Formats: sequence, C-alpha cells, structure tokens
Amino acid sequence: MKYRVVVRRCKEGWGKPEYKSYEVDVDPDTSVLDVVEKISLEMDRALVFEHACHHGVCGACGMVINGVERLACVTKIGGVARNGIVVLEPLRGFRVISDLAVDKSRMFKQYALVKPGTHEKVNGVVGIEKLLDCLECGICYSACPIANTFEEYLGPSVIAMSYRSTIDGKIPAIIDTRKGVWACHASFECSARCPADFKPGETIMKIRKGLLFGKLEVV
Amino acid sequence: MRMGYVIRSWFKVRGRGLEQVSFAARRLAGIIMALYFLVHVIDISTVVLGKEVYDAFLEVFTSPSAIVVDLFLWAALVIHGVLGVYSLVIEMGIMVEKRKMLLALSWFIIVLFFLVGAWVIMNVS
Amino acid sequence: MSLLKHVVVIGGGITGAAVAYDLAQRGAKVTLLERGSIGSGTSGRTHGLLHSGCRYVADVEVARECYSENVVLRKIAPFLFEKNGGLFVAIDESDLKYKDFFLKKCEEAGIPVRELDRNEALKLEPNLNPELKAAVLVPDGTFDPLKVVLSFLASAKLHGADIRPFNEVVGFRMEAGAVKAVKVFDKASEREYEIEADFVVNATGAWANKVARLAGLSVPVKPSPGVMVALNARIGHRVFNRLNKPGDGDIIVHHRGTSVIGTTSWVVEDPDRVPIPREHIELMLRRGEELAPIVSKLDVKAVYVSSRPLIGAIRASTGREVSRSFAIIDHSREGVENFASIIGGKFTTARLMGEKMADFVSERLGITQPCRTADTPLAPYWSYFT
Repeated sequence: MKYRVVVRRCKEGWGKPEYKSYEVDVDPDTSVLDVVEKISLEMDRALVFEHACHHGVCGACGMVINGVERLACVTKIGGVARNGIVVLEPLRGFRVISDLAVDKSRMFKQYALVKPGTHEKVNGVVGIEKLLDCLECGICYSACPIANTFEEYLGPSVIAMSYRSTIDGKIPAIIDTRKGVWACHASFECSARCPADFKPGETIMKIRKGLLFGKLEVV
Repeated sequence: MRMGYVIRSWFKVRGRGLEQVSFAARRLAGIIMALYFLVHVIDISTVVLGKEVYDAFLEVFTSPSAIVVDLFLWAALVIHGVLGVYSLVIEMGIMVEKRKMLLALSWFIIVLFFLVGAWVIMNVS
Repeated sequence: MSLLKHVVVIGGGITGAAVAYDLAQRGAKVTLLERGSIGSGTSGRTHGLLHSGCRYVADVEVARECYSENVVLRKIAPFLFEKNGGLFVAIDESDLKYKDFFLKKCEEAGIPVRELDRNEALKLEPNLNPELKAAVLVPDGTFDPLKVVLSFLASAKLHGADIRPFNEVVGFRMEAGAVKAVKVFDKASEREYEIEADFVVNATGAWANKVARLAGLSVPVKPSPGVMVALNARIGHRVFNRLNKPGDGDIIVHHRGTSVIGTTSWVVEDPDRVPIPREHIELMLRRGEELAPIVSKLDVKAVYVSSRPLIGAIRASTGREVSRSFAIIDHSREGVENFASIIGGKFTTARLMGEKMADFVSERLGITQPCRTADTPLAPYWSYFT
C-alpha cells in the first residue's frame, strides 16, 4: 500500500526545521521503524533516527507519530496512517540532535540525583530478580505538560523507577519536593502513552499518598 | 523554555486521554477566571473615577449581551471548581485506580451545575 | 602534536564499544564512529542472552570461554543483568538421549549445572511443557543489549574517548601503505570531514567487508541473519533452552513484558537488505510451542532480524584466530599496516574480544598498559548521557 511519510527534518545550522515527504509502498503491517529504516537506506542516507532492539524493550525509537507519542518499532504503519499520510516528529521536551533523534540527557541527568536501581523484586517469588519494566524511552516526558513546562522536573519515569527499585522501602528526599512528585497535576498522559505499562502517573500519586499519610519515608 | 512552547504543551488534546483533556480544560478555565478577575478589579475600581464612569462601566456589564459572558464565566467556574476537587482527591493518591469513573462523574456534575446555574442566570436577570 | 596514539574505532555496537573502552583505559586517544545510533546494527537486536556456555558444550573450549566471560560480566556490571539462570529442557526422546552427553560436557567445561526433576522444573517455570522429560538448571542470564553497549561506552568516555554516532565512514586517505585519515560524513550537519588516525579498528561486524572495501581491503565475513519473534507477554523468569544440539527456534528469552523466541540462520550478501522469510516466523512459533504450550495463545508483538558476523574461510595469510570463536584480521598482509578488523564472536564474549584487539593494537602502537577491563566495574549506562 502506498503511504506518504512526512518527516520533520532539522540539521545543524538550520534556523527552522523542514517537513520532507517520502513516498513508500509497503505492507500495512510494516512497523513505522522499518519504514524509516527503508527510507534511510534507499532514499535519504542523511536521515537521522534512533533505534536498537526493534521489539519494544530498549526505548530508543520513541517519536511523535501523527501527533501522538509511540515506539516506532511496534507501531504498524497501517494502524496510524490518516488518509495514507504519516507525520513523524521527534519527542518533545528534549533538545533535537537532528531529525528524529533527541538528546535524552535531560532525563538521564536526573539519575544522579535519585540514584535509581535497575532491578525490582518479583511479587511472591523468592530469588528472582527483574529488570525494571521502564524502557527509559522518554515518551512520558514528551507527553507530560509539566515536563514541557520546566526543565528541572525530575520526570515521571525517574520518580517511578526510584520508587519501584527501592530496596529498603525508602525514597530519596528530592522526590518529596517541588521538582519531584509535587510538580505533577494529574494529566496522566505519561501513563496513557507509556509503551511498557509502567504506570508512572499512578506511582506518583501513590508516593504522594504515602508521604501525606506518613507511610513512606524519605532518605 | 519558551513561553509559547510551554503554553501549547498544556493544551495538546488531539489523540489524548480524558485526564489530559480535563487538565487542559481546568487550566484554560483557570486562566479565563484569572483574566476575568483582573478585568473585574479594574472595572470595580473605576468607582474612584467618579459615579458617571462607574455607572457607564456597570451598564456594559449588566446589559443583555453580557449574559453570554456570564454564562461563559459560570462555565469556567464550574469546570475549574469541580475538576479542582477531582484533582485534589486524585493528587492525594485517593481513588487513583478508579479515576476514570470519578472523572466521568465529575463531568456529569459539571454539566448539571452548569445547566442549573445557566437557568438561574437567564431567569433572574 | 599529541604524544597520545589516536585510534579510530569504526562501529558502535558491543564490539566497537568494548575495543574503545579497553584502548581508552590503556591511555590511547580513541574516537568511535558509528553511522547510525548506538547499537542500531546487530548488537541492538541480539537475543539478549548472557550465555552460560552450555549451548556450545560440544566444543568445550568455546563453552569455557563463554562461561568465563559470563562470570566477568556479572562481576563488573551486575546491574545490567537479570541473573535468574536458565533451563535446558528435554521434550522428546532425542532430547533425552542428549542429556548425558550434555551433563558430561558441562562438567568438563567447568560450568556449574544442576539437574532438576520434572516437578521442580514445573514449579519454577509453570509455563513449561508439562510433558517435559528432563530439565537442567544452568547459569544463563538476560540483558537489555542497548544498555550494555551504553555502559561500555560510558566507561570509554570516562577515559576520554570521543563517541560519535550518526557519523558514517565514507572513505580512507591512504599514504605509503598506511591509513593516514578516515573520511567521515556527519549526518547531523550534512558535512564531510577527515579525521587523522594512527590506527584504525574495523569493528563493524556484519558490515566489516563493506567498510574494508572502502580501503581496498577485504574481510572474510559472512553476514548471517536470524529471525526473532517477540510475543506480547512474558512467560517465564528463566531462559528456556531446548536440550539438544543447537538448532532453530530452541531458545526463549524473557524480558520487559515480552518473551522472544529465536532463532534461525542463513547467509546474505548485504546486511542492509534482509527480507524476513514467513516460514521462519511460523517455525519459531511452532518450536516455541513445543517448549511452552502457552505460546499458541499469545500474539506476535514484533518480528525482527539482524546479521551475525560469521567468520568465512580465512586464508592463512590474512587471518589470525585469537580464539575459536572470533578472529582478528591483520591487514598488513594486504599492504596496510595500521588497519585491523575483528569478526565473529558473541555478545557475551565482547569484552574478551575488546581485550584481544586492544592487545593487538597496543603491541603495534607501543602502548604498554595491561588490560584491566575484567576487574574494573563498568560505569552505569546513564552516565553516557552526562
């Protein structure tokens, strides 16, 4: 099936981005990422985009597809195209490196402040560890109106990761501040867009409840 | 972060969930009320400029076309107030798993309160 | 003029990252060039299996090498791995007949394994086929490949390495039998530039021959793709392996809300053009169902493919196998003395590949620091970004 893929391109030194169209003919079941890769190999070798695992576990390929944040590798082009048109833009809330690749250091910088673990315990099973479900894709930052309002906000994923990976049940004091859980205003777009069902919004509210009713301690 | 970019991020509603739409509605209502408050303080303070000026302003604000503005303001008040209570509850971590139901109920109450208030505004003037 | 030796490493996958880290730690000035984003080649699409080595027990040396690196990685970066172990499961008679050979070889290779009875195995992993005839617990692990590559690169950056994704090598400037400079196209600025180098390491894996040809050289690599099928649910804690000789679709790896069945193997000419054969997808699902019947009730979340850098026939004059599982190609035999390629290997043994390549380059450049990567904790992957 024929699709028009419109990509927001932006190179170093450009004042404004440009929206460039590429015509492709692919199966509607093809993932948006596979289409972008095809475009980069056959039509535009300078197209910049991020990808790694191609099956929704590494978080590299998050982008805005027809206005909504998604992982390109598990999004079928037929499912999102409107009248055969798909518009691709980089994630919001991050500095654009080029085209569809963004600099996620804004999010990863916060890790030094909360020092999250990478594992969580598995309910009811002894001796089994699990890497956190959070893909660290940054989609929650792109979707969150607060993360797009002020740069210092710790962010939905960082807060949720810190809570889920805690070993002694306590959380870092910085989470109990205005740049932590108290910045959130219940938009829940983070949870709505999260490709890993990590539920950061619900976790933030759970932390607030714990702090308000004295059930959660800070370190 | 640039002001225009920031404000536009509050009002992204295309393809978004009901919670985000409600967040945008609540914020818009709040901005409208804040602006109205500013206007109101100004028009009330015209009393220092003398009775004629004050009366002239009051004529504008109590004219029939002003009822439309009143309805608009009442809507903003109801939306901001009811959603404010909704978010107060949710932001304390209460009923978070059932928030969709609570939100649907909130919008039902918003419509109800608006209709009641609209009736009062249109019939009492 | 800098007294530091400048090494340019081409390839931002796990091999390039390990080489860059080792050389930077030994004091070389390292620049790494990757044409796409980090891990966007073969490494990102790896199965994510931290091999215990048991899969390769038929060749005891390879198995031993695998297990030894498994232990090293667990030591230097425990935060990167789910260290839950794996199970080798016998489903039919042929599998059962393999068990004694398997156990004997594991012992020979020094890999600690434990046989479980059927009930124990099903209690640990209820989704396994209840008709299973035997099960062996092995020290497998799983990981998120991108984060592992980023950790190695973060460690390299700590030692001053300059990592440049979206920078594609488009040529080389040669002078009197050596590479003087690498010609690079920076996709973010759409500018071409040159970077001078004392030594060039071609760590592009399946693309090694494509890159070497830009210098008029050749690498005997056979790009060998394999299909992976990711399901829409996670069905186990530990890796499921089929107890038999290595074959198609005999491993299921679980992580982050999905279980991935893999894989197959065939050879292609161009790693940038790999069509996915439908029959392979169906085969994966059938084989997966044999290990865990619940597979038939799940949907496919994604299907992906990437090419292994298999070693082709190595002419005695061009290659040197520093290990049975990977090879360093010394291009001085082709007339270029400061260019070397590295192919073969597994993700699990990448650190060792980095060590051997760094040994090779250090010898050429007169760097005397020994390798310390096996004893140094890896930097956390998020520090790559800060």
